[in-house]
Amino acid sequence: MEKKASVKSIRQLMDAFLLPINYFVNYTMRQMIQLISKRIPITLFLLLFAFLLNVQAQQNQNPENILIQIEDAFRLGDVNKISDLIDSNTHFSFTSELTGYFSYSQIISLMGDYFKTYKPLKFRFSSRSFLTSMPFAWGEYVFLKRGIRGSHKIFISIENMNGEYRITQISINP
Amino acid sequence: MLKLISNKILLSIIGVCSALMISIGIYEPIHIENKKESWGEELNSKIELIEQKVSETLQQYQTNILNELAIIKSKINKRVSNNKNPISTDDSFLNISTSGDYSFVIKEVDNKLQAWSYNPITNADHAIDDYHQPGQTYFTSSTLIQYLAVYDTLNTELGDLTIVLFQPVEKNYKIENRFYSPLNLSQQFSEQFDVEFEINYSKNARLTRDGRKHSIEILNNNKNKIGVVTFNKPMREIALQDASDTFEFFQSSLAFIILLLVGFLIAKFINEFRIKSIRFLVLLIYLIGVRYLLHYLNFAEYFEGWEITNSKYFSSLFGGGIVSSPLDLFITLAILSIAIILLFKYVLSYFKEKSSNDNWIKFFFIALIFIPLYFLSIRSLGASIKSIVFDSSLRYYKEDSLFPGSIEIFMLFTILLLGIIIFIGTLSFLIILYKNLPKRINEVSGFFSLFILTQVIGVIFDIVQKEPQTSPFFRILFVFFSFIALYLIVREKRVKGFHFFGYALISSIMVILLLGQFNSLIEKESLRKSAYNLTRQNAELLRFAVYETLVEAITDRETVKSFTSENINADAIAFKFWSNSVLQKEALGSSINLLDRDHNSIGSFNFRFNRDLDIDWDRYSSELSDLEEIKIFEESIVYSDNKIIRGIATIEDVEEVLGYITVNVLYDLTSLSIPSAPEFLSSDAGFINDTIDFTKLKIFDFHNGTLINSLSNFNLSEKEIISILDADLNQYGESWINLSINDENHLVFILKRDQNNISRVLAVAFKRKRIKLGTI
Repeated sequence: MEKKASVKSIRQLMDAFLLPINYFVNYTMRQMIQLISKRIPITLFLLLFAFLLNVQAQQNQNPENILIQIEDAFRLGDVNKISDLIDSNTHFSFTSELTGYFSYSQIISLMGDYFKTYKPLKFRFSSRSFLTSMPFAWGEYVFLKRGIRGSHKIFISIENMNGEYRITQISINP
Repeated sequence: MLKLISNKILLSIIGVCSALMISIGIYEPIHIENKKESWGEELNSKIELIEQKVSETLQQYQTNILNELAIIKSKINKRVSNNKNPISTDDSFLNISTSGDYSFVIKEVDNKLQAWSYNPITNADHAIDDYHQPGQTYFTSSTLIQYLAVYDTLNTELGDLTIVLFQPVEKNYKIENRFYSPLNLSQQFSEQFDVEFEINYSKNARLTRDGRKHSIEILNNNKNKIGVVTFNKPMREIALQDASDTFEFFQSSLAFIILLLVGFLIAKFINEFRIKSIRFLVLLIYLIGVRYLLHYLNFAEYFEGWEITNSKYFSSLFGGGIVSSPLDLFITLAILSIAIILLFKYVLSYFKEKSSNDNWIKFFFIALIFIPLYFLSIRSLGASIKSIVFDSSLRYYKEDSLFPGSIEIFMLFTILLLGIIIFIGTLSFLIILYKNLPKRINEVSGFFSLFILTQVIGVIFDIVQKEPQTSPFFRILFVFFSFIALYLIVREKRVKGFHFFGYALISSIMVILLLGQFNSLIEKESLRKSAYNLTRQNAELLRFAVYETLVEAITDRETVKSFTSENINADAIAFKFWSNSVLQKEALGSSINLLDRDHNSIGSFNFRFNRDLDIDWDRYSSELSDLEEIKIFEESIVYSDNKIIRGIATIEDVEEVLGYITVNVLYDLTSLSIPSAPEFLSSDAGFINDTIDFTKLKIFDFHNGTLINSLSNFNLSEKEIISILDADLNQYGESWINLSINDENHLVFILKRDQNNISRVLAVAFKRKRIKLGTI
């Protein structure tokens, strides 16, 4: 008898705890179904929009698009355009003093300083390849430094890491 | 001091500065417009000035070399008069030429080389230019170095001797390392006058016909042409920008002075406020404003070129760029230190007030604000030191030198300043907490209760954080020290001078502990960097290096010209191309060969490259006969995972093929960058690890599951090999494991990469160690 009583009291306790949750979940679900059923066209439109965004994002992850993004950054001298493609595993190489693996902040600052000192006049990748596991491209960066025109050879390689591309190497060669 | 300056005076100065700023703003466009209109005249005077300065510099070079020649001649005459053989190679002879970088050779009448100085030149046989008379200066080249030279004859008992003296003016090669000292007259002029210079060191050089450029002849001491200097005419836009920058500088300086004076006014004004916290908040907002104004005015730009502005030594993106260089960090901390000193001053004055709290609720609310602030400050200290260590190329514990470099000293001072600021800041929070303890609690028990409460909350604070920035030991010690400082203030009811010395001492201990903690972390991180560095090479980069080297070679006018010369120094040309190429910069195992039109090698340069891997290009004669462009191909090396990337291009003038240039690069997957090369030729970029001494690392390289190379004194057991190959890798193919190698505990980083169709596993191990007391 005592055992039955204790089981009953545990059940009552659990009911007391679970019933409000159950009620809340049911209520919320009902409300959501009502909301969606009233606004089926809008819901479908939103779903389609999300799908298109996802497709767009996947397209942006093509190596071709990534290299265009990098080309734009060098053409415009805007490091922010590639800031999402850089991390501390990006090898940066310019002069012997500025060669190696740097932290994210450092690479962004170094690239920013580079674009500030060597103002871009013209940049285009003259060679690119997407067929390897590490797509790469190189091109001539024509700049103006205090009225003096010059050029550097830029080599970039990218790698797909877990579905996302990142720059593995930025080599600036005077 | 503030009381001595009346508001009227301050307002008057602010008014004058503001008027000046506005006047400059009004005058600037007028000045720029005038400059635009009178640009023609200004350009002429600028060109005249450049001409004059360049001529003076070149004249000075010639005067110096002629003086040096006279000195050497007199020294040799003196030896003759002392009955010494003028060209016997004893010590006194070798000391004949000691000033500057001069080199000399002494020849007999039959052009036979008899003696030469410490710095020999490579083509001494062709050093005399018969076109010029003795005693006349001229330029001569040794392919790698361009010299200003002069020769003269001397009658001695041994017969007529010819002395040729050389001064290097331009190096045609460049090595990317710390041993190389640049020498480039064209570049020196370019930097001096901010326009591009080109010097043609030939007496046959012509003046430019390009309207955008201006040329001047270089005349020797006999007014004969020995070369031509050509430079781009100064650009109007640059001149206007310079003028605009000057105005901006003055306006920025005035804006800064105005802001400082406004600060004085604010300081006077807020003294009227009764509530100290509001006073402090107003000043804090003002100081933040000052910092951001300095950032907006690009104050650090005026120190451009100084090491303290180099992002390499420290750069953080925190605060929108207010700590983007060592100098920016220092300025930010200097301003923050003013805020903290003010806070401390106000808190001490509040502490001395007789008012007391007997309300638990008030204490609870104050604790709710200041205890989190206290621990957040400690966390920010940890995060800042971590950033200073990780966002920097300086390795604070790598060198055991007693006197670190100037930039290290600057950064260490900045770190100490940061430590003191945080310590005084946290002490101020503790004083506020202590002051608000309800009076019904006994002073001693209140103090100890607060201490225990703080330590307990510290533990909770660390538990709830995802990534605590400091160790529990550090946190406990910091709290302990700050309570000692609080105790001294409570006991003496004021702060004495020696207290600050104590704060500095405690802060230095605290920051050294943090530096040690993060240095260990960066050492660990460096294992990962080493593995990435060792697997960085890829065939694409090598192809790029080959292509670019060949393009440079076939478009170089001097090279094409040298192929038609009888005295071609092909080894030097090969070295010149190698030194100026990506091959040198990336320290790649490579070779450059110059071939004549019959495919015979006429000169070469190799770096970390086995000559046996060179090929006989004559075998490819049929392919080369119709070679029209650069050809690059890969070749596997037998019994090796390595391969060679070879490139060849034709050197030709308008009429015919003069020869070929070939570039070979080793795609090296096996040597672990061990092959040695002369240090003075090796690029600094070839360093595998800049944090730990490379020789202290143990490296194991597995190809398709087989250990093919290692850098270690110990062999791995079967069990250890399995531990490495079976390690759980993350999505990036990385893994960290602890491994006992030769009964010593090692931290091992494992990286798996697919390279050249090989599944490569690289394990980089470092013996775990404790921080040495000696280092502290």
